[in-house]
Amino acid sequence: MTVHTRHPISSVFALMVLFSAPQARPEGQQELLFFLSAGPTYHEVEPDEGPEDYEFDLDADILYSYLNGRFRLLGEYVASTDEIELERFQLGWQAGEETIGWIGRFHLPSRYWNAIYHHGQFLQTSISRPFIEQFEDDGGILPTHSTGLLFETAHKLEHTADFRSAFSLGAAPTIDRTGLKPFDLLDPGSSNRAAADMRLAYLPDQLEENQIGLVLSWSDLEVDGSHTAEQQGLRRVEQVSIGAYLDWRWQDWRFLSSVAPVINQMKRQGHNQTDSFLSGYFQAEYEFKHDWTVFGRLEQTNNTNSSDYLELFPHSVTDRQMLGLRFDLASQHALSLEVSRAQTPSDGDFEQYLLQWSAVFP
Amino acid sequence: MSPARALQICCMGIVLCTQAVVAERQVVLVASATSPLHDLDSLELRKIYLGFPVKRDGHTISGLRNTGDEDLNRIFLQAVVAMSEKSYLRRLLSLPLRQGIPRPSEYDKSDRLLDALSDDPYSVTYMWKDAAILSPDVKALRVLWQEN
Repeated sequence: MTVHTRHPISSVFALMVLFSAPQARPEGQQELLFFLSAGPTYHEVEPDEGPEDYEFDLDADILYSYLNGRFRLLGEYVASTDEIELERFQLGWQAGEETIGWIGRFHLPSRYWNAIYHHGQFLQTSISRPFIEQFEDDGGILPTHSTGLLFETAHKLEHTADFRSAFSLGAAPTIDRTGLKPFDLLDPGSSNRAAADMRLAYLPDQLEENQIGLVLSWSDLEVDGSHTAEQQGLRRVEQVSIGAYLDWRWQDWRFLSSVAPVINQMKRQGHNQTDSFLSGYFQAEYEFKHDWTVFGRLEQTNNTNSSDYLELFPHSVTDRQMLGLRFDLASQHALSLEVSRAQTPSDGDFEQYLLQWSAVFP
Repeated sequence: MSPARALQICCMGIVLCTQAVVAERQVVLVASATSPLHDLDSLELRKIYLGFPVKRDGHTISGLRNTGDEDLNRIFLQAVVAMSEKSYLRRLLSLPLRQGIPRPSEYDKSDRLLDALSDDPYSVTYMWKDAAILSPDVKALRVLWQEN
């Protein structure tokens, strides 16, 4: 762990004491949550027979929310062995009973997985995220953060059904030497262009979480320091993604799936080129004996070899077959194990083993 | 009447009285005695405890959790939110994470719960009927659960 991560993590425990008591309502309610996770990862990189790769990840996600009348504030800060980042900082105003507008930095609504789990590792059953839901700094190839305006609405349909929508307009990430780099509120750059995003969801029962939906995302990604992009003569990428998702529970089963064709207008010096690929995943989870969940996920991406855009992210996992087991203990802790066969454009196939403890406090 | 007969009748009376008390074991929805709230239906109550806005007179009603009694908590999960503890915990964690809404406040001491209830006339909680009768600061809005 770097020196920079020590201070935030030690501050976590001081803050836990300050905010653990229930807050009186008339003056506003607030809550501070800590999602912690830790565990080793082992990659067996093939076919180069390269060195075995061990990592140990420790993550603390600090979430603060405040509600006073129509006003809301939401902040999410991640301190980990890999990064320290203000992930979300949103100021919200509830315009109507079912409508809220936000300004600030947020997770894009078109990435459904992120919209329900954010950085709350304890809440997601699997340890890993699907390829198309990866955050930018974890090798993600689609924008997941934006800074600007976000609107969320809900409309009651017949009986108990609900139609929900979320729209956003804000700053798009840039393509730098490490991959996509979202707009940073604490270190704002000047080369970020625009991004627009949308999610439409149908819920047959507004009080349950089963839903199907459509997502649409448009981003204008400026090249800003990517060596590979400069070699391609690439100046920027206009990216459009239209997809569908499903999140369904049936008895002890849960199914999560998403598919998204991604079309990239590669704006080069001299000529433009269209590049596309299709990526999707299907995850099934089965809960047994109340505390145990077995899960598996299939992820696939086509056109990985012919996509110039994917060439910019040579170490991102584009295909995966994964199986895992999770044990929930003491209601707010979980132990998970995951074994997968993954593939990246540059490393080929390799096996990956992950073990993780995750928890939430208080 | 023989002493044995009198004892037998007395015992039967005690058993019958005990059964009557047990049959009346109820969990009730309560608000502050000064609250303008009159009634909330099951759907509204479920919405309140799942973090959906339910309003009266322009005020959002808040649900306070009474966590001091394990049996009461079990009945709440079964009769009000219709979820397992694990599922409900996850739903509650989603409130601040997804919407920036703090979870319903929890109270494991009845005096603090009653204080919080009287601080906000648009708040509700649940308790054993016996406890509600003994407290002059609360009024029962409806029966949530009754032992058969």
